[in-house]
Amino acid sequence: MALDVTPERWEKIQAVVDALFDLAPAEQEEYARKASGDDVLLYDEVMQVLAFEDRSMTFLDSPAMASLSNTSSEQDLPDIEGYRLRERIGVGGMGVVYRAERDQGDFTQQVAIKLLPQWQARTKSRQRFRQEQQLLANLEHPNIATLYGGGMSAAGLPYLIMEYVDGMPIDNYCNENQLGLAIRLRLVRQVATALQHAHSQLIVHRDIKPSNILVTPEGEVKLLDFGIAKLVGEVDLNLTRTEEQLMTPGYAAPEQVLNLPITVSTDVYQLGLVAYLLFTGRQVHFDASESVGELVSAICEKEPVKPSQAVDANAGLLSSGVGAASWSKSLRGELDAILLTMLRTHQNERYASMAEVVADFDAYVDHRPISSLSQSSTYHAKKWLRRYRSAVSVTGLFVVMLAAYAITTSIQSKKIAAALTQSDFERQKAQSVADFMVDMFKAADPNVSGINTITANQLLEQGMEKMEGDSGISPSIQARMLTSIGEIYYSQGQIEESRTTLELALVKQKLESGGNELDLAKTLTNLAVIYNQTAAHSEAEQLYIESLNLQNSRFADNKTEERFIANLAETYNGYGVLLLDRGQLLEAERRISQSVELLKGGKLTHHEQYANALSNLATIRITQGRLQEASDHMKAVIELQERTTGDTHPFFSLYLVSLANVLVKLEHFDEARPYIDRAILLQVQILGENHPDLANSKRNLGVLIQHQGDIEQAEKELREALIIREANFLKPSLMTGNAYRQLGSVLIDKGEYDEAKTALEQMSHHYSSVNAGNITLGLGSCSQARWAYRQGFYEKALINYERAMEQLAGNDLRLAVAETGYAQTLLRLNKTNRSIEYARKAFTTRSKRLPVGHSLIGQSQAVLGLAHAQNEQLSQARSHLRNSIVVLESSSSSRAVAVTDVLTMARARLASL
Amino acid sequence: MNDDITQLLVAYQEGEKDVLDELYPIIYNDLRLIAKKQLHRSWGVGTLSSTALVNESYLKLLGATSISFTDRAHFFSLASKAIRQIVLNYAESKNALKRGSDWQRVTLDQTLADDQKRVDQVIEVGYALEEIERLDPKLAQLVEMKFFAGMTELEIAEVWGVTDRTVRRSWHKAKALLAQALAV
Repeated sequence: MALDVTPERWEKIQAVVDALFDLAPAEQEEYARKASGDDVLLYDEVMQVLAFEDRSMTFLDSPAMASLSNTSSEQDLPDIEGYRLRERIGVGGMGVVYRAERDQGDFTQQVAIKLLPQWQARTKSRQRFRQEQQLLANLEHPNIATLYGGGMSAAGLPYLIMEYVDGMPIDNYCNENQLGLAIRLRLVRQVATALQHAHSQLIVHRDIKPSNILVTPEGEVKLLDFGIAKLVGEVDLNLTRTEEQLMTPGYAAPEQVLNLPITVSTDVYQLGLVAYLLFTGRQVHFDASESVGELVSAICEKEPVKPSQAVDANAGLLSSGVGAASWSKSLRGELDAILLTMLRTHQNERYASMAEVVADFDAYVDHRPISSLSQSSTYHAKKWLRRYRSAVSVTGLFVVMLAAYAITTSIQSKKIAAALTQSDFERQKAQSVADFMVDMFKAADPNVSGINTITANQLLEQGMEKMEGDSGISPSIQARMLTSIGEIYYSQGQIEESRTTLELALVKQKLESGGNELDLAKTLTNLAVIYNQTAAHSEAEQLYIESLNLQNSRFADNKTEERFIANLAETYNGYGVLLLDRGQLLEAERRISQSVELLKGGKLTHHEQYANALSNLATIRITQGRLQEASDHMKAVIELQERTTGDTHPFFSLYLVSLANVLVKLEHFDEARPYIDRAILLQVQILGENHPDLANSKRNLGVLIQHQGDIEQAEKELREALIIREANFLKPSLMTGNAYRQLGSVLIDKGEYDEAKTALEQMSHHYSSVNAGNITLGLGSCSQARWAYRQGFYEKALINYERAMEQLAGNDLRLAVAETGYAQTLLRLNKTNRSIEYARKAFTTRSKRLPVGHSLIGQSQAVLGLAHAQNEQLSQARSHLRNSIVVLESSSSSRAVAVTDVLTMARARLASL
Repeated sequence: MNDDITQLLVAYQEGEKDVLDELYPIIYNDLRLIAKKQLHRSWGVGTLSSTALVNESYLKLLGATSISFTDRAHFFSLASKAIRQIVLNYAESKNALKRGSDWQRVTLDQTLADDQKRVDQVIEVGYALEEIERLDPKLAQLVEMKFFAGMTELEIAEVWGVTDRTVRRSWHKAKALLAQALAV
């Protein structure tokens, strides 16, 4: 350092300097000489300080922070007419950005002005600058900084006037506010929709990075700097790509690094990088920061580490009170898959459009399946099909192919045409439909590189538009098309769109006299499925009946046609499910059996529709108490399903649960447990931890465990089931009511009557909101009665059991539940004779209908024994009590509270006799 | 919190020089948080008003508590020292940004040369100030207050209880010293 003076020396120097400051300039030199005396050096040193000209040190006069903040001094700011430029606020890929103001009447408008700097103002860049201006002017979106206008500065430099955004870069914003994953996801989704909009205007951003994504104090995202955006596919820009590849190294997509064509999927990739940073606290290639070369090879060759495994425990994201472990747990599975799909090296392996990214984010948030997780593209479509819904039948093949096309665009139009031709029974019509579909796909491809893929929705919307606008297409083909489109909507879970489309198809079909009746029937069935699902039962029933009539009138001509049989079976099956839902058990059984028989007769027992129908039949058998049959059916269904579609099919886990459910009723708990565990494992893997199907499995697991006597664990499972259900369904539902009933039952077991009451009230609320059938209501009444009984409110229990018996009158096995309870209550009220009467009825029913040794038989018998004892019919009492004790002790339910209760009484009573 | 700081300031005033150890980190941390907030706004380019920073921190830490004139002076001297540290850290980080791994985050063809020069200047002043501290702590404090904390000469005069002319003269001396220190 140049300062080689000592403090003492400086003390001397500055004493003289201070004295000099008080003197007139003319006197200073003389005083200095005098004060220095013999110390000649001192004179020099003093004068050096005094005479110091601060020209070189002017920067010290403005605060250090100002120079660091790029705030240029006034004279550096360019002159732009009508605006006062305030400060430089950024340097972007294509120029310098200033904050500027303009007086607008009473207020001052803040704008950002982007100016092309001198050294960059070459013809080509100006050309591009003008393009950017035109391009941006087309972009109007709440999440994109608006372009107000542009022009030439006084110095001849082009500039753009844009919306001034007072915001923070998205990464800082998230960390500063310690935002959780859900909000981060929402912000990324906002960016995605903004980009989706830009893409629809054929604009790609190409330089997406946190500093280009600001978040305003209101929490709104603003996307800045389409500075290097260019018209997608507009090749003739008189510039070759190699010449000017503008990018940000850490946020470059492989195609940018490799000078390959830029497409919308470049934005998908870059958004993936941003999302990765926001979700994990790390940049994707965080370990490749040494050199451009290393980064390039990382971008082009390395598969990113899964986000869930990249969570940076030290990053700001974890300050939001969430541990690294649970943070990465929320990323595991779906978000991992979405981000990795966005970050694929090869463009055609990424999401083909931003709309798909948005759709998957939404699916993730709504706990629907995401497309990127699918093993095959048909998985996605199948995912939506349930017991109620039309299974993937022969026509389904066609639908799935279309849906798959729309989702993955991996299938050529030709293949679709071929598939249509093959699977259709009217070649002529099929050809028209195929042509139409192919046209639709072509229309969707604006012949612009990068946008050669579109989403299913866009496809469908365009298809609809085209169809409505094209008078050359006959109504019957239109209807066929609409039906297909409706099915695609349906397969994607867009019920409302599906309904509208199918209704339109129906109108068209009905308008046309002499149209194809089977087509009409197909539409009717599809629409009925939807109506039934939206609880419009009577509308649904009309359509089913109409559809069945149409199909049966053509039965003779088509009975060998596989597709015809499958469609008819599907209609019977759907109608059966409707009847089942309405509690019309016998009618339901008839329809579903017809479906099963039809498929058997058509040798279609390998068909997926068969598994569907058989599983519904099993449901009916369960309700009828024909448990062994139900169990056999379900085992067959599971075997068929696993063989034909594998264990990742969404139906498969549901079937496992149904089987477990039957086995629980048979008290084969040990046999049931592995099925339910497997179902839960599959569901967590495939559907995530918040899916309604999982809630159903947990509910059944809860019931199983309750029977085994572990009420704490049972309560836990049931409560988890309810959390999932409540999170998924805002409206009341039967299943949620059932879960509350089970929870109430467990809480009664535990003796927590207040909580049990709350649960049962919830149950009643759900049941009455959905107009639950009598059997359901009867089981609810039984729970309420048991609640009263256990607390000694016997009169109240009696009333509830009486109501239950009315409600359950049509179902003997369930009636026995009410009868047993009723008998027990009567006993408490010393109405011994009537108690014996009802206990015997229940005992008889159960002995007849349940397998030997079932604990329910034992329970009824114990009550019967107790009643006899009270009536002093000692020998009968002894015999019943002894027998029941043996049954109850040896049953696998022996530790269940309901069993131990009655067992204790029976033993005590027997001992006293 | 406020009482703590006032008491610490009083103690410092009464000659317990070691309380500085306790006071400084409190002020430093607070300023750093405020600075971070300010830096993270606006287009990703740090704009930080160090004067506003000191004032915000002053209000927050001392609030309405009446503290003596000398306490106030001590507060500002401490705050300025803290800000010097913050600004230098920030400059170093900007430097790192251009040289280290964060280069990944900047669009390649930015005009960075000007920025770089200014960042370097600030960092050099930081080093030179260590020399001046050894020589004349009061002048070093002045540089902290004026250059780093962005206080005006009038404000400094008020805090020090001297005339602004005196401040101006000291500033002249300080710059002369800095110019020498930076000369090589």
